[in-house]
Formats: sequence, structure tokens, C-alpha cells
Amino acid sequence: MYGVESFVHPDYQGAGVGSALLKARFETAHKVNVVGLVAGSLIAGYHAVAHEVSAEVYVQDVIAGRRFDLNLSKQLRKGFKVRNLIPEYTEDARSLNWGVAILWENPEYDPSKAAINKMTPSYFEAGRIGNRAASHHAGHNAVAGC
Amino acid sequence: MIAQIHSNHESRHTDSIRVLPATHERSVELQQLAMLAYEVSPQLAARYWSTKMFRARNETFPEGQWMAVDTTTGKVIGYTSGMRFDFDRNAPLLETWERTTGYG
Repeated sequence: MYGVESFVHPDYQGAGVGSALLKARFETAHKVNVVGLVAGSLIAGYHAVAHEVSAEVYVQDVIAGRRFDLNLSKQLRKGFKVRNLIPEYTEDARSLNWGVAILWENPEYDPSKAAINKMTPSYFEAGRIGNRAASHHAGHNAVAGC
Repeated sequence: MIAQIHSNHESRHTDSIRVLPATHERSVELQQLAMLAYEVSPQLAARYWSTKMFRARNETFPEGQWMAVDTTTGKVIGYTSGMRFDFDRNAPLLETWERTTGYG
């Protein structure tokens, strides 16, 4: 599954909305039995330090915990791993168009089962998913970003 | 007691946030939300986040479309979209967002 985009109202940043949405994504991945989630993370803070470091070094610093990136740091905290950088991923002033391919592997993926195409209405009616503190998510996130 | 988290100088009742399937009937709200979140003009938001696009996403992969709603106001406050995607776990992903998603 590919994270097309995620975004959160600016007034609700830090209220756990991004985490709740990401949790929904994870649950979808389990339910439809996909290998994992892939997304292009927009490194939101890179533009501020691009005169000092390359995008590669910036991402290495984020992975090592030496820098905090509004998007990527939170995604790594949620279990995503960096695969590679994508130059000219999409038009984005904050990341200077860099994307970072990130992957979360579904621990419940069962290769003996075909991916489920449709989920039952009862799943959609499951209702509340999250209300914890935290971050954004994966996908092409805006104020969020992957 | 309802937990509160301080955000942008305001307190939010996080227990009131629910994640529901995103339906294209809420596309106008989703478009407005995208405009705020991405800080783009209404014209650009209308072009990129059209009802037609939300409908297409729902028809293609409804399981991957979610929105967050503040139940105290009924406002849509978050959105996420996923799509089915065949990929090689051992190969780098190098395509642009536009090419991978077909422009959304």
C-alpha cells in the first residue's frame, strides 16, 4: 500500500490526529493483508539547513536522532524505515522537492493468503481509533506530509 | 475526565476525535482542509483536491481512505489516503509522487 497523502488541520497539530490516521492505515494494512506501507516522506525541515548539509546527510542525521524533522522523525518513531532518497519527488518548498522513500513492513502479512479486496461494513463501523498525543504520519504529508 | 492536549494555544478534547471512512460527500470540506494544511490558494486547492479525485480514490480503494472528525464540532480535521501498490521490497523507490499516484 502506498501513502498518497495525509494532512491535519493546523489548529489540531499535536493533538494526536496524525497518529490516529496512521493507526487507521496500519489497521487497513492488516485487514487487507498487504506486505507493508510505502510512502515518500517530505523532509519538512530540510530547506532551513540545505546551505549547510546535503539531503543525504540531513536524513542520516534524522535517522541517528541528531536532527528532528517534523515529518520523517515522527514516521521513523512509528516504525517506518528509510529506503532511499528521491530527488525531485514532488514540488515542495520545505523539502526542496526531496522525498524520502520509507517502508513499514506489516508484521501480520500472510503470504499464503491473497490480499483481501474488500472489507466488511462492520470494519468501517468500528469507529474510534485513536486519541493519543503525537505526530503526523506517512504519506505525502502536508502540515503533515507523506 | 476528558484528556486535553495543548496545541497552537488552544486545548483540544482529544477524546472527541474519531477516525471514519472518508467519503467523497465530504470533499468540499476535505478540499478546504487541504488548502489550510498545504497553505495553497483556493484555486489550487480546487484543482488538486476535486470531488472527482476523492470519488476516484473511494472507488479504487475505499479501504484506504480515512478522515478524522472532531465530534464536538462535526468538522473534518484530518485526512489520509492510501492506494494499492506493487513494489519490490529490495529495490529503491525512485518514481515521483505524480507518476506513482497518477497525479493523485
